[in-house]
Amino acid sequence: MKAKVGITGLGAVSAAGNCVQENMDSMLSGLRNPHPPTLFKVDMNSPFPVFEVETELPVIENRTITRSNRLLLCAVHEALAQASLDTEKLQNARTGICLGTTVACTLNNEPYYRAYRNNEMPGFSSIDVYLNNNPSLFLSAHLGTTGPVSTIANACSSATDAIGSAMWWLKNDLCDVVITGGTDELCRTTYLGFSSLMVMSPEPCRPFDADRTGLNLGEGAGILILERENFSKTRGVKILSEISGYGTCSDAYHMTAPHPGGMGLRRAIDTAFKNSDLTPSDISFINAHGTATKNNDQVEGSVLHDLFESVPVVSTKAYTGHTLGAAGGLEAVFTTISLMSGKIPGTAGFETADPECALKPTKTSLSVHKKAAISTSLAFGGTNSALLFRGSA
Amino acid sequence: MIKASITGLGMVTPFGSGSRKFWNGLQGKASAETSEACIITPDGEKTLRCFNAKPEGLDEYIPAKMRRRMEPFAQTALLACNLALKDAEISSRENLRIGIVFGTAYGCLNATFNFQDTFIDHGDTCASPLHFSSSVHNSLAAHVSIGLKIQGPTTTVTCFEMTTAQVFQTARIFLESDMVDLVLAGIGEENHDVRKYASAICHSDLDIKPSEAFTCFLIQKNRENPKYGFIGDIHMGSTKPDHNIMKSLDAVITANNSTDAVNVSGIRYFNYSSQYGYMPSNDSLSLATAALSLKHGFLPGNTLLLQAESVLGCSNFSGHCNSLVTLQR
Repeated sequence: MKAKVGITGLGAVSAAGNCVQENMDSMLSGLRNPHPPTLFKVDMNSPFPVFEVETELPVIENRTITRSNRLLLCAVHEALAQASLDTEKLQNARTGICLGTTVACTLNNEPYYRAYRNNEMPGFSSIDVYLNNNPSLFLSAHLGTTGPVSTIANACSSATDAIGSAMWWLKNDLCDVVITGGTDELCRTTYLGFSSLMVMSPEPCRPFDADRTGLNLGEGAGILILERENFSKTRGVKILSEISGYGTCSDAYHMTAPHPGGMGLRRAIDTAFKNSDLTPSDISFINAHGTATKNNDQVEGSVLHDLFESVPVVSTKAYTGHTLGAAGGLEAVFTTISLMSGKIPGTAGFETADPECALKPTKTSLSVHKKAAISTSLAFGGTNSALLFRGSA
Repeated sequence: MIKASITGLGMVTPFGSGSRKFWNGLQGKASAETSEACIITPDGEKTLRCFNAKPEGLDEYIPAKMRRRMEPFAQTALLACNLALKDAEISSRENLRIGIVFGTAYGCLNATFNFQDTFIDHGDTCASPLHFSSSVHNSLAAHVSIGLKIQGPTTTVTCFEMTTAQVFQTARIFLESDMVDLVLAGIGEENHDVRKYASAICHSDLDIKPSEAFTCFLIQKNRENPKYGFIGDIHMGSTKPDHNIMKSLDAVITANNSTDAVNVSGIRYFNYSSQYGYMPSNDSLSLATAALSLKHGFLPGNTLLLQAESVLGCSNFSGHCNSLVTLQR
């Protein structure tokens, strides 16, 4: 019998708020504020709006850390405090760190590359910053943990897959506690990449709406503290909810488009149920990937409508933007809080159902029962992942 | 705990395609493909010797139409996976649940910089979508899943010197959790001029010679007498493995010469990186060396004969990143 895996701490920072409660309050109130990027300049007549984090982020004296890791620290501190864990406790336990990212693992320092191209012979400092800011390695060094460390780079499903991996680490007794989730900062290179794919919206995004015009990028970090049941019991801490199942499957179809029938997503959801004792009828609500791109929402919406016809669905990307490697982490945090509170936000921007997928996500905040929920992620390269959460009785 | 067995090995290295060429190269029977890069640094002009992967046999495994849409690094990964499947004599994948676990420390460097070239040269509205989608770390695994029609779990890890150990750990968890029947566990890096430049300005003695390769281990559970042995301990973290674990090993193959040694008396250390150069995930090549040594019964260039119970360790120690993976028959 594999051990149960409980969530004991949550941390979140995004454009929707600087902590978990701020995020939930603004989403339940329907507030959002995407705007043209201020963190970098782009040479476009009408820059696509983004969701930026507008708070002062932590710094470490005498050390250059990336914005992704500053976002990470913000969420980690909040999650550890809720779980009643400090560095001493983490160092004395078998503590693992498993995080997802996309931007933070890529050597995409544009000023450095421009200087290199211009034969300006840039120094090593920018490379050194890159080498010292892999999120999981950085956090392990910062907290002084000695257990397993992994950074997962599966594009938009990175954090969901990190949480799934963390669950398996705990079930297979590699660790007592794992800090997991994801982090990603807004980055000019990534912004131009999504622009080149013509999937960015010139207006605030409208997940699953018939007239949706694409996604808005965002940034943030979403962190969960996962513990083996016996470890959290011994510590006497409250279980917020349980990670009950995880499934991930590849479409093996196309680099940037999902399989039209959503075959990979269907199998990922099916796999998640197979390694859980939950059934589809237990599901209270779904936090969907819901990027607001034509392709994603049509395929995902069709699959979710097909499998869970009357189950409420929300896309919280309407409030955070698509935070890429952090998305699955933030959405896992929001899913847990909604299971605890019995409330899910409305999907801002959604007005008219798309006849091609038939899914009607929440328009306004809604009360739901607290039994179980799913969070889904679809990624570049055809990865589809699903996490199952069981509410804490 | 299940026994994770290595039943196939596919390699694209500076010695060419296939593990046989790598093994011959380690024994001095073949030479590696190298080139010299002349690099202008703030300290003057430097000449850097680089090792370059030699992907032979692409035509045999990857249709030309498919290759047109793939970066060379992705082609190398797909070639290595095909070679591993062939080595394991798996001709039909129909009834097998297959997972892909890949690792790369630096990711797809050429696609990353090619993408930046497009908007630096032509403006922000002219960035290339093809280069962008190929620049993400998981594009290698995506190309392999598409190329081999593998619909199981696919994941990519990246953690500099701990990358290889993470790949092995994740592959074993895929098997232990009964998510799959076999895993294509691949690790690789590619060269790029920026990497060479960074190497030249970082290492003043030019002892570090950038290298590129892709190695795919085909891993299955509980197989009798696997060709390349079983995976034993996997250690990764900020601390080095316990001395008792180290002392239980018959030999350790280190990832690189300069920073990797652990001073544990009585352990025999081997290092072959002078023959294939340096990558952060060099322990992937150490593990391939260990796997081939277990198969052949000896370590390259050494008279040490391996016994049936021999255990080989492959270490990659570098400051806060420390890993050790052991293999045994």
